[in-house]
Amino acid sequence: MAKTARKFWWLDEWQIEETESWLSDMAVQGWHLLNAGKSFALFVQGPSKKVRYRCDIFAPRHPQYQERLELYQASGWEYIGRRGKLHIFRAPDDSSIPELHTDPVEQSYIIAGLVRRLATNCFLAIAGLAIPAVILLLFYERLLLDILVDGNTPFLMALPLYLFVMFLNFRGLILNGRLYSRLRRGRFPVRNKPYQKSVRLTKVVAVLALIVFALLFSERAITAINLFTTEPYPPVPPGPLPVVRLADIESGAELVPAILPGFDPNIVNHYKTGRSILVPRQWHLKEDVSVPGREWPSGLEYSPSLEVHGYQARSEWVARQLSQALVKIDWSKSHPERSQLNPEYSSYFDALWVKRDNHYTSFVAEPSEELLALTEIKVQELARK
Amino acid sequence: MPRNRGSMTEAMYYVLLALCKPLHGYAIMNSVRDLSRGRVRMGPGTLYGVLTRLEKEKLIQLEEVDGRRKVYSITPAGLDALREEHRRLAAMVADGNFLGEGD
Repeated sequence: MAKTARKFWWLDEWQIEETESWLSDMAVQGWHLLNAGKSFALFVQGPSKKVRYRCDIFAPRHPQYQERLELYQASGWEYIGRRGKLHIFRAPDDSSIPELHTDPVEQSYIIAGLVRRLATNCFLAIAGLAIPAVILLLFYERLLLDILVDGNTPFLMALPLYLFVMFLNFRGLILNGRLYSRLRRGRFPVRNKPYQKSVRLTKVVAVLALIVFALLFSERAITAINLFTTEPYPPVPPGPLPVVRLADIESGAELVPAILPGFDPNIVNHYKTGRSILVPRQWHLKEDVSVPGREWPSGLEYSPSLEVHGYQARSEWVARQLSQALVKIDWSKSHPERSQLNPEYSSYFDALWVKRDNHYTSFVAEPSEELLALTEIKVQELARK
Repeated sequence: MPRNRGSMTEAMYYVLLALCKPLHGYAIMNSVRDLSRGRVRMGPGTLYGVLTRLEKEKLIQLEEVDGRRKVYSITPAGLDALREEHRRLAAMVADGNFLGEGD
């Protein structure tokens, strides 16, 4: 039984000249096309032969379809199979059998149809990018925060694959535009066209797109797994944390964690960590305590609370984008009148946004690494002010 | 009608000539070869490209279906276009007749 081999179609459906050239080269190496699948070509091993492969484009549902195939075969061209609308034929390398297309200008009308289809695809691909671009403009900070903190969004995951398909379409448009011009000038398609570079380029772009997709997908998957497997409200550990905690501020005071009856005891006092590609270290601390023996000016028991989101970004640029997004989302839009740049603590930070509301003070520092470097002493200094 | 620089392509001209008599695909190829006295050997891809286009432009029509084979014939519009092209080509040949005077 003859040996068969399945080869991935690294050439696009619309790389007509390159496909003909590759199949002819395979025949010289003793591999003859047996079947042309959508993604894989099946070859059977046989004696090395110089044969001509030709590709022609026509719709399989055309009323003349069967008659056309029969006439091609009667003219000496063996029909092998098709990839979509691309039909593949083979004939001995013998001048007694005329070419499938003997008039380049006539053939240019067929290629013109393909060029129009590819141009439409390219236009739709660009229009398809416009929709997420508008969403990005409208919800820039929200999306940026999702991408930076949560790692990615489904849109971002689909992007490398989308761009890869776009690349194939644009390259097809350029190649067939050239073929069309050549045919219009009365010249035949290039025979034995080199295809190796084109295949290499496709492989590189495909591998890059897959790596980026796999990274984004695995990150998303890990986040999803963690969400279901880790405790939703881990207790706050004793001792120093990478982020500021109430004990740093209420130095020496006895802090009694608050408990909401009927809820998880840690729901108002918990400490979580997270990660993403661009922001590899993330901390979230929520504390709600009471201090026995101390009172608010109103006479009620003193019960400070603190919520801290700390981030360590991969670069200062990322940190800056993140802090800008945080300021805009959390403050500027909901409380524009309270958004302010406070120069008071500028010796500690590159930039600091402070929001005060009676008993509630919050701030965002930029870049966030600076906040992490804040020592206990600095926290205390800050608290005294 | 799509023309090459305002004229018909050679393939279009010969297919219309052949279809002055109703024929099916394979017979058209043979007829073109005979009409051109062996000079034009039309490939099947070119033939079907031309047939599809001529039918769309109503210069030819489907006469009958003989089993699997479809028989085509030229339409009055096709005949007019063919005559016009013939006149144009004849005028071009006449204009260049002096080239043969030295033979």
